[in-house]
Amino acid sequence: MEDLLRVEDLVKYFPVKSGFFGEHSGLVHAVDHVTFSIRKEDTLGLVGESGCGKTTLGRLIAKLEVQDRGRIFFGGKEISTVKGEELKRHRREVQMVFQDPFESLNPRRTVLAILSQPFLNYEMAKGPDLKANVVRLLEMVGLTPGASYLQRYPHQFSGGQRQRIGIARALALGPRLVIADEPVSSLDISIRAQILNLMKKLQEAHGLSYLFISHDLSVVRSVCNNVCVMYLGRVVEMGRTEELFLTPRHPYTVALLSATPVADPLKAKTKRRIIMTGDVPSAVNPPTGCRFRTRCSFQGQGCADEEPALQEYSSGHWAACHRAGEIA
Amino acid sequence: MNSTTLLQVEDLRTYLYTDNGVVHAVDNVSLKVDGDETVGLVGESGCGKTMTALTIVRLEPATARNLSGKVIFENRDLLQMTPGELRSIRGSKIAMIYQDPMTFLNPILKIGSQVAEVVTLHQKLTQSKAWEKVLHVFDQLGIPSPNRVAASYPHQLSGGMRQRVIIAMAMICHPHLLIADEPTTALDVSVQAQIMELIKRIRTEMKNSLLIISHDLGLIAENCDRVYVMYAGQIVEHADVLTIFKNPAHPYTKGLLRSNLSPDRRVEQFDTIEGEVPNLIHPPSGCRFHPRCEFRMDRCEQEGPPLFDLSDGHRASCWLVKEGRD
Repeated sequence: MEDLLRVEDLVKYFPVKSGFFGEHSGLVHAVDHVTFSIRKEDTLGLVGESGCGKTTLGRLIAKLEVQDRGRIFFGGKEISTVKGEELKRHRREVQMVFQDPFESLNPRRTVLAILSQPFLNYEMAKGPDLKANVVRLLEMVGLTPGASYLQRYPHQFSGGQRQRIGIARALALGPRLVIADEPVSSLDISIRAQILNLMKKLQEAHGLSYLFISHDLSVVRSVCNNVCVMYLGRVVEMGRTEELFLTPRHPYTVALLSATPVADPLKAKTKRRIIMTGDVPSAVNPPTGCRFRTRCSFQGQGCADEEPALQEYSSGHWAACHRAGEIA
Repeated sequence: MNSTTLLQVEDLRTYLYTDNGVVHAVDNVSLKVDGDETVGLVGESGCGKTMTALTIVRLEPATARNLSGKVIFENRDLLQMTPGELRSIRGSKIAMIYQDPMTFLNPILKIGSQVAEVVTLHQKLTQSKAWEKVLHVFDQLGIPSPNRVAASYPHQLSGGMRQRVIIAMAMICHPHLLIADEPTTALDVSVQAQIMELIKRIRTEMKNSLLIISHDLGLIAENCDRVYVMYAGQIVEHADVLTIFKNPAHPYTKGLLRSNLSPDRRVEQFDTIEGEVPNLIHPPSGCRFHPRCEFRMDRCEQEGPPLFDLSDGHRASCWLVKEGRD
């Protein structure tokens, strides 16, 4: 299957200002030379802890931020520098779903108003047509009968229902790629499964591709076909989900997997646990050489001197570690 | 009562009187924590688990009136104590760790002074002795450069470090019972593991008891000896951790475990519990889980099942359990 999206060598730094006059005091290396692609109708998981740059990467692809360097290709065309009408067309094709459906829905607008907006923005429907479109959207995400929800406000819905509305809004204009940024992280276990089933059903029905941003490896294992692990702005490992989970190559992936709790008291007793020391270092002054070395249990000579490049260890399985050969 | 029982909650009822109506947040909850054990209280948001914990330490909100039941801690009922008596117990005999440390730290006081306050309040120590003790505890907890941390303000520390400070605050008077309410939910996975290791290490060293409140089944499975499952203000099942995870009896517990995802295996179709967590102003009649239960019978709508004994220490409140037993 061909690629829907490809990013090459993407870079985004944010200036840090400090002091009363807001002097420049450094750069946050939010996304630092990132390359990957998403295939049509596929789900790519973007995994990492807070501050690793996964959300910024999503915003760059949605063109909510402009990259400092690098190129973005979508559906075979380069869209790195699109503006005006072309940018508007791109926005229709790439939509976002956010973590907190309460903060991403305007509390003062009815569901009808919220879900009408995309159609109005693109002059795609009006009058009775518009209403029919909104009802269709609501029913598509499992809020039936759609007509009974139109005049309600976001606070009148439960968390799960609000996330359904967020998904409906993202799908209004028939996008090809949906960037879902922690879409189920704030939901309860029983509701989370409902939303994941809905996302899966919609993917099959509409041929969607997902960029699924998450810190939760339990969800990623079941949702994504491919995974990209990020640490301090860099991709440290990527590959097919099953292979990456069964034979992780990068010490960070190994440690993340070992730190994720498993709901099985018997396994818990025998599990090999690698505790990463310390916190994620600052992205303003990332460690020299390998950025993970300060927390790495495999750290050795050379790790501080040279930043490891991504290397392919088996078909499609890449890792950036000087000692990856010794790990799996 | 078992001679080693540290905390015994009996038929606890915490109703919140709000403008919209009476919220039946905690409804006839009974649970116990023995000496030197880790107990988990698990449930989804809004099930009343945090309100249960808050009522145990008598920090329930002002809208909670007419508490009933008993909260026996070391043979005294906390529901009958005066505010002064409660203050002497909180922080010294029972301590709490909360989800979001920033909410419980004063942003304009240095970390060291805030932790030292706990010591001066409960033990007759001078300021400088208390400060020394703070540094000592920071060191024990593996907080790097204790002097620097003690001299910092909360916003200068990372989330993980703040949570360590809260743990230091909780442990400094050697409490007999530690209540941890979602202790790692706001933290990154790698820091979560560090914090749980720390809590476990302290518990083994001090031999105190721990009550963990969480929605995270993994966290509960990895850390608890016994587990209570809560739904809509009530305990629906409790047993030792192995029984809860390997041989659950209540349809809600079974549903939760089925819909939980694991990093260990891939599932193609996600099992769900249909419907939503009920509103506790008008909880469902009979068994509160019946509107979402795939096994519901006529009886379930009319009559709430009590907790039935399944085996030693394993109880579940479901009419099916009773039928199976008869």
